[in-house]
Amino acid sequence: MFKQAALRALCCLLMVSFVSPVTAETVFRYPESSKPSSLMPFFVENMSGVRISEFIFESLVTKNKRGDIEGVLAQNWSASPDGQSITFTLKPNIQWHDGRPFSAQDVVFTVLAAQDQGTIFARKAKFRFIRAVQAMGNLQVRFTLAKPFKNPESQFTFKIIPKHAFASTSISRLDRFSKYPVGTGPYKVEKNDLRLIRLVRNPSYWGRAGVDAIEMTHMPDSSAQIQMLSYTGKSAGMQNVIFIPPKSLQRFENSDSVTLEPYHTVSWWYFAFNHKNPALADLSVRKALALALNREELLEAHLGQGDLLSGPFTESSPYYNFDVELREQDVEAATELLDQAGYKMKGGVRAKGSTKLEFDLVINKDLPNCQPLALSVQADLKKIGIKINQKFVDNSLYQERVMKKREFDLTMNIWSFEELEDIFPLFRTGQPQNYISYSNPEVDAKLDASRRERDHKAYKEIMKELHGMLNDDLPYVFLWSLDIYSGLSRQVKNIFIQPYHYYTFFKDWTMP
Amino acid sequence: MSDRPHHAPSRLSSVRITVTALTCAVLACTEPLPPEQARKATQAQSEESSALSSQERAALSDPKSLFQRLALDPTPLDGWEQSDAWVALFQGDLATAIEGFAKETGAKEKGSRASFGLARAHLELAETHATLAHATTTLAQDWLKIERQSPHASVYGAWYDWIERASLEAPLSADQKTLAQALEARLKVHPTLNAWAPVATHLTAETQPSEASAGYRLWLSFAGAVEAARAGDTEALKRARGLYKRLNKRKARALTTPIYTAQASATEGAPAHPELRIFDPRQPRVARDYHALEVISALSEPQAEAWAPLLVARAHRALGDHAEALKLTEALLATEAKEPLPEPSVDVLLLTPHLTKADLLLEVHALRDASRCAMSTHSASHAQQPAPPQKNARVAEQVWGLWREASCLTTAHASTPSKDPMTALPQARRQLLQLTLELTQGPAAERLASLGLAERWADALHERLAEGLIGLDHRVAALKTLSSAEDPSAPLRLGGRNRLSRLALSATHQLTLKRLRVASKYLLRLREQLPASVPLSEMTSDVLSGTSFSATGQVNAGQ
Repeated sequence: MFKQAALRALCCLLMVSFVSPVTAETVFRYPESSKPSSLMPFFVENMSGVRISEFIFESLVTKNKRGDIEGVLAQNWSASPDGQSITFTLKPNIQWHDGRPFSAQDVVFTVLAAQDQGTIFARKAKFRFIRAVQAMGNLQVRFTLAKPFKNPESQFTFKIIPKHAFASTSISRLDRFSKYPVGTGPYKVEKNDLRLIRLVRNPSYWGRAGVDAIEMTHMPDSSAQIQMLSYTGKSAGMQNVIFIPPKSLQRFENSDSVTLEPYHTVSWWYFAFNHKNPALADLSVRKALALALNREELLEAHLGQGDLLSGPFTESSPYYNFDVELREQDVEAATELLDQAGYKMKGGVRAKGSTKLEFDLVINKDLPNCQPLALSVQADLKKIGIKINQKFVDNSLYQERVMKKREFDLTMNIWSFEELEDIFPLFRTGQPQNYISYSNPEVDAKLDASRRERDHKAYKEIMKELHGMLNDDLPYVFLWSLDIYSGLSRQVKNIFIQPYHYYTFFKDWTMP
Repeated sequence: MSDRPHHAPSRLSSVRITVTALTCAVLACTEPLPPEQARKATQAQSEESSALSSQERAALSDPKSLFQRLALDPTPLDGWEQSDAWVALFQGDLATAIEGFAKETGAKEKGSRASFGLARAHLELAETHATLAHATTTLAQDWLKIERQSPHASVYGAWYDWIERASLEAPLSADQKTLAQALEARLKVHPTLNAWAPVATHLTAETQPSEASAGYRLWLSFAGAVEAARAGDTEALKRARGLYKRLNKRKARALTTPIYTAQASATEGAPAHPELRIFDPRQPRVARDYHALEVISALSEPQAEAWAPLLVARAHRALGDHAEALKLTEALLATEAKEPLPEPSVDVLLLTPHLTKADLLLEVHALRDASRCAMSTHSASHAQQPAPPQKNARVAEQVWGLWREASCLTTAHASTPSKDPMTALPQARRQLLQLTLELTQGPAAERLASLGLAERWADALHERLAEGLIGLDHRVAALKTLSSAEDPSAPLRLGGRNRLSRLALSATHQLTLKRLRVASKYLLRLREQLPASVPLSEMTSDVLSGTSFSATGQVNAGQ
């Protein structure tokens, strides 16, 4: 006992001698599999960008924890009785990160920039509901809407950007702002390099923020992320891993150091074909590929529990068509389809004339468990005489090669949606997110009809029809959706995760 | 600090704690914490440990406590494991449990363990359906608002009126009753189901309805029998039981298909009206009543189990018969005062938020007070303010105190809601479980740990706490409470430790938070086990699509 006490005293003495005289800052660290495509809200095209934007930018209103619409930059609002116009009064004395005052002109600028033909981004349609916008002094802004809304204020959740940071409303994604943005949010960007984005508390923030700094590290390897989460408490540890693969959940159940929190985002995985490839433009080949994949086994072996899907909606969507049957693996049927299409086996690979069924499967290294998944896909397709060349590339190269230049045959990826799946940008001919060059006039006609539809029941019917059509025509093989859990260090308190945006309520989080 | 799998028992002795503390101190020497962090860490640790009172330790160490008893003598667990019905109850497969218990009660004398098990399974279903019924009534109003604004509202208006009446249990007018009688004659259903009037009008009106499905007609007969049983027809419950079995066999077709599908004919050249699918919003209410009546029936004979009246009281509460619930709880407390009730058996305690007789009495008191408050809306003489939970009380005491407060508030009686909701449980859960494992001593302690009995007990406590928090409108705290009791090995679905009652509560609470997409996910996964959740699930889907379809959402790569 005496020895133990003496040792303890010695340690305490040493501890005192090691301490720093200054108060240490609290740093919240988390890894992301992908780097944000941009920090400029318009150009955010991946979920890591969605999440980090929550620290930097703010909107006029947001849905609070109780599910009610609450003002953020807006103090109050008044909608016209017909639901076709709304006037927001802004909170006074709000400053941008660079110290300039926030005003109604910034709100007007945001809308005009989003609607400017020169500003090219995928979610432009999100701003179509606004017909006109007008500043009324510095703290009031009035919107005229393209159609009536029951609660128009709920539409104004888009992030506001500063007018003074841009030369015109035509904004390029290459603008420096995409890397070093200026927002009104609780955190501002201090450092943004290849591996790390560091945010520090905005000293002039109008509200409060519980943590001093945030560090987002780019870390594609999910097992490394989990290791770092386990190592929590030290300077190199992580406080939050967004996605804990279902197979790893048990490790953290009732853990001393980590708590699990559900993250209810709407997302689904898919296996995509490049429809410019002549062989893959052939529906028989796509069907054969779909039939050759054992999705159930792929899911169970590499990710864990989830729902297999038959179309571009998850089962909880009002648009999911349960009459569309799931395609199960049927190697025999797949072989027969290829035989009928004239693809004969030559040296282990099928070919028809000079067209060989040999494809490049290009995968973003950031996709969770991508390597074992790709190996299993390769093995499944080999059974029907299709050869796969796996190519794992970094996110930036993937964006350039697959999404922009469309230089790939096959790929696997995930789409995430805010509340309801809007599939128009994915499958309408010529849309920027239709990077697979899919074009089907019947599908286009249905999608166009959906855009015109004003009745939600009729819209639902169109979506259900599209579900069936896309299951038949296979622009993708629709794979699965997962129930996602995040892991968070028990050092972090007051955690509340917003479905989709995730860090909306981060300013309430603390690390005592 | 290490991450242990949940089934690994912890046997930390005080010596080990000292050694661990010392090791931490040594680590601190090699990598010192700044003083502010060190102070905060110490403060956080002491806050966590102080979340559990010394009384908690005493209660868990009590030799009469469930885990202490089972750790020393696991024979009652053998009794559960040897019966398919008890195993099914443990696993949350209530339909199988009911079937098994019904067989066992048929073979044995009344008042057997099996009839108690049967009552437990039915009660869980009755309370689950009560949750669904309440949410269905609430959501029906949102659904109707959206539907009545649709371009086709004028065509389907009578249907919407019917849904409104059916969801609110409003009386029908005389004219409508005449129409309903004609329809009832046609459908040969129980005459009390008179809400079919608008159906009759539309059978001859501008829509082209399909007839009610055979499955739905069966359900109507079942609902009629349940209503008759509620009214005191002793044979009706037997009829309902038989029909319930038939419904169960074909539940996928009978209840998860709409009762009515129609597409109004359009004039030439005009766009067609969208299909209308109608589900009967009374389904959860009828199911609630049926299962509650079964609880009362199963325990109607003299019981070996002295605590059976508590289950019967809860069944009466589910039926809205607060006077009977009050009578039963007061009788139990009077018996206890006169001659102490026996210690509850494992059959009474397992899978509940109770470990001891003292815990059970907390529930009896809470239920009595809740019944009084409910009664007071009719008669002021019954009004009596429940006492607030004491500070530093045990977790169970705090939970039941809050539950009682909420019950009185939701019956529009009690004073202002608690300003400081009891939110310690989600944070203290881990400590509570560790303490339980640490204090549970005996040859079968490992077995208890491997069955996750402590987790199941904590889950049940969470469920009651969440009910209280919801009643007091502490929505965020309730969400945290429910999510921390959900088994991540079976997220949003039945399986692992997740029970139907808790999943139903989670689903309906997500609706309160306007997180319709999450609610929809829960409800979809409940359809198989709870076909009466279908109306709620369908309405959620409609409200979701009605409120969000016009807003072009975001789509992004990754997750």
